[in-house]
Amino acid sequence: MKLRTFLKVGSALTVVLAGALLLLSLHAYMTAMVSVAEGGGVEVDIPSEEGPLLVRFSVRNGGLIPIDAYSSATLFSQEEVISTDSDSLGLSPGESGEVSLSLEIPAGSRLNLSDTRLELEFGFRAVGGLTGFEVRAVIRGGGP
Amino acid sequence: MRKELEAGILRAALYVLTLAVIPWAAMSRVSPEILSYVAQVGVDVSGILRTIVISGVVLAILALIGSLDPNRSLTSLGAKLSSTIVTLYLGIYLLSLGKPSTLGRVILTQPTEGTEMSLLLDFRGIILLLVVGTIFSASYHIATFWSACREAGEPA
Repeated sequence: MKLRTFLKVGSALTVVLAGALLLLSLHAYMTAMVSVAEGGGVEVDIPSEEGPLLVRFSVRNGGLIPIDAYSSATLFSQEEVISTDSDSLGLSPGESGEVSLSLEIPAGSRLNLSDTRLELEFGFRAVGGLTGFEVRAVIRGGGP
Repeated sequence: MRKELEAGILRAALYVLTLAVIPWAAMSRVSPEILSYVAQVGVDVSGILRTIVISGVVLAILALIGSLDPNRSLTSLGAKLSSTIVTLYLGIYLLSLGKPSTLGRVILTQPTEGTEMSLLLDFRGIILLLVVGTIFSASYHIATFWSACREAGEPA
């Protein structure tokens, strides 16, 4: 009888826990994405011709559980990686922060815009990595 | 026995209502623009709806079969275990947005001019919890069957 009760309660609790974690994660990701959009989105900027290329965005965790925000950017020229950087930060509920990346452009390298592409990822993970949400963009320089 | 049958009928009615009637009614209210946008990023909404409705009907039938026979019958055990597995499959299917082979790690891509955008949704941890819940549930049904057999003095 004890074993059956344990199994029945265990089954119900696990399913309720899964549902609750799913809803809490989705809520945290939605509020974080909205805060990124409200903060001006992901800014990509080159202050001078020699670089560095700066990527930054502000994020606020408006959810009820802690999340980890992370971002990485890789700059390719003629299919070769010329610079890469990544950053991450942990955000408690209600906390804000800024994720900032700096892609150094090697001295003397002449970037041909038509052969250059920037791969940018930013996302969030929650509940010790049990759930995740990530946006990836590949921006190509120059037209066809 | 009569109580179990009543509970089975109630469960079957709930499955049909929550997994067949409500999703169908909700989908008819969604605008075609939203549906076509969602289809563009690779989510087959009508396929997902069809699977939910079929699962609802299957679960309702299994609930009725499970309640018709006593706990110690193999038919009842089979129906309850099948119901547990169908529920797990439905959970994986929904969390994978209709692509159960991805096991909860879905990538939605929207190519635009000069830029490729993709969205990654990772619910593998939630699926892992559902699998644990399914193991608990299946073990409970087997333990109930075993105990009913022992009480009736029949070999399991």
